Amino acid sequence: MSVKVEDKLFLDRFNVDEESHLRLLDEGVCFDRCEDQPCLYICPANVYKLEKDRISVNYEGCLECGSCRVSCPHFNIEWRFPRGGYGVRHKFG
Amino acid sequence: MSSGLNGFARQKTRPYEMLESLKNHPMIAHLIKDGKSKEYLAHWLPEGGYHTVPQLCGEGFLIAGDSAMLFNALHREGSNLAMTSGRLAAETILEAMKNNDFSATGLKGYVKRMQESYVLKDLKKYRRFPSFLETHQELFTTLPKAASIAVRQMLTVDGVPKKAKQREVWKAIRGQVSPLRLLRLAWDAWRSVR
Repeated sequence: MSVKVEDKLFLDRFNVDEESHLRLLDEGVCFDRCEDQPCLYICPANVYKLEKDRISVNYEGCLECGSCRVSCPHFNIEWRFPRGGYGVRHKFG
Repeated sequence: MSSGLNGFARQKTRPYEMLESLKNHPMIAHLIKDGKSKEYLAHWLPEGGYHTVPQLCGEGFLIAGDSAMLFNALHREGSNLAMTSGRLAAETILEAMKNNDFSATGLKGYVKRMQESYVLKDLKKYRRFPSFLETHQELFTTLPKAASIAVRQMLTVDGVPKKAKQREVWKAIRGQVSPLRLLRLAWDAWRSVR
């Protein structure tokens, strides 16, 4: 079954900051030492995507749940909330 | 819907795929047939339980709700614990204002109030529950499948004697989880909720 996460993210409003609030501390770790790469699967907004030689962080759609931070086996994700006024905005929840 | 982290990262199941398969399940689908998604959000539930509740008050602060790990993983309660802890915090603060003492000692009444209320009593009752879930992965994998097979077997009318079916079901379960492990599971389950 293919589910397009974009359709779901489309329901939310985002105020995107210029700089990412998520950062991979050492990009080498993801390829050299991380077998499972759980961030690629755990993120409900599909923020982390596998590119040819790296993992890209598409922080624009981040739902700020923190799953990537706790699932990263190498503590390689620097996780912060976006600056005040930025990030996801919910109307109902 | 809520789910544990370990399982689904390992299975490479994406959370929104899980949500969608739940929504498409024949038991659910007709209930939400004409529903429309209004918003999409993600949030963690602090399922640590009693043993992970942090220090509840200190110099000039009180901790309530999710931050204080006030979540009952068995009964899926949390908002009520948040509201009650918030009320108890407010009562404590009023008391502190009266005495003009916001030190750790001045706010200690909060801990006592929490211990006397259902909040910490409930968490304490189920203090073993989080580790029970963590140490019995089969609760989320093999056992639900086995239960589903068992029910299907037993409720299908096909002329096969029930006793034979029962044997088949047991065989299937035993093949997945050893009887000793099942016994352990039952014992731990009882201990975690009694």
